[in-house]
Amino acid sequence: MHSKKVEQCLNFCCEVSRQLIRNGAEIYRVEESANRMLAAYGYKEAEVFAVPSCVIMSIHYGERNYTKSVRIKSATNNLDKLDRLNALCRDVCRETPEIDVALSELKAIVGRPVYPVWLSYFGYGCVAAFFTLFWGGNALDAAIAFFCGMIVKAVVGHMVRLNANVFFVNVCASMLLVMVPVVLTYMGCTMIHTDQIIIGSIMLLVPGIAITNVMRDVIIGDFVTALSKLAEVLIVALAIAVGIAIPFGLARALLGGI
Amino acid sequence: MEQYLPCLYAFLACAGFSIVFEIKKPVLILLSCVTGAVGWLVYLLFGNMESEVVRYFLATIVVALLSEVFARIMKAPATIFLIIGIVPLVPGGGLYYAMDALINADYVSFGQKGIETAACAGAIAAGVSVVTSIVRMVASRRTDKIKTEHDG
Repeated sequence: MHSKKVEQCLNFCCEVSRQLIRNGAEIYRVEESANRMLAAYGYKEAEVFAVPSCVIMSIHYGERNYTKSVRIKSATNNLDKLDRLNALCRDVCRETPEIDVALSELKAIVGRPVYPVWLSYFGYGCVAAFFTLFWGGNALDAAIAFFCGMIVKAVVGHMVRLNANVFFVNVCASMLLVMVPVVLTYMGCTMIHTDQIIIGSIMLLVPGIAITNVMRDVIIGDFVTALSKLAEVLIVALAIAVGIAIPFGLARALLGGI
Repeated sequence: MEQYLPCLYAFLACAGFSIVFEIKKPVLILLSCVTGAVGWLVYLLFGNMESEVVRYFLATIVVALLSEVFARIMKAPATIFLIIGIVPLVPGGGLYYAMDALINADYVSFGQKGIETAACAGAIAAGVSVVTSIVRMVASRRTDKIKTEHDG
């Protein structure tokens, strides 16, 4: 009878870890949270191992060992869910509710609505527009960048649904957004600042967060996580570079220099 | 006054990122935008410094500290404020100019821009790491203390 309880707890903790990683938590935080929750339920002899793509959890209880692993295919940043998952972990550690209760709370968090699509487009546009102003563009540049930002959202949103890989998504997104100011320039709008528009819009793709996390993982001592994240950072940076290079290269080859 | 206008743009761009990253609570959106704007303000205030890297490092330290403070006040993970607040400091411009130089086969300025960008990214990461390490050290000592009090 008790083994069922252990397994329920194991399942719950694995699911929480999976959701934490999927919504953008740091890996060491995932291990820490899972360890604390298991300890709160009374399983002191527990080991948690997490990397960005997998979590393995083992409990030694009574005479037996219980192990479960979960595989995480993709992660995004959903800070709302992250915040609530964090609160859930804290509550679980403090009050140790029945697993059923905690599980239904977890399900409620996972099912929380995301922002409507139009607002999401607006958000992407705003980021691109205001970063263009931030990097020294004028109001016209910002307006064009707003459009570029929406292109990024459209490309990322649709290609993720088609299960495209990270490299290809970033190549396409940066290529299309660079296309806009380049084409406009060739059509005679020479007063726009191509550089500022591109920099402002590219802020949506630059893996700035990932690279700070990599360094943090290195300093904390989690080298496995750091290396796998570093690979992702380099791939994304390379993809953006390729994406920028294609429209410029094409324009130069077909139409001569700017 | 005009040279501080980018802080306002940073604030608004961070608001955009709050939507992109699905922050729902208005208070959290406001505070993470404040973190971003203050970060850039610090960067601007150290404008007379020669080294870009040092400016980025100092600005990041302030952003990270502010995130930890807001996290304690709001009982939310510091990551939320950190992710949004660090964005204005990300050297996207450097990356672009480096790539631009590469496409133009200008390897001297590619090297220069590339190294500068990498150094700034390193400075940001170092700043975050320093603050996180200190906070974690202090926090773990405090929980140890509570634990031993309970056990004893």
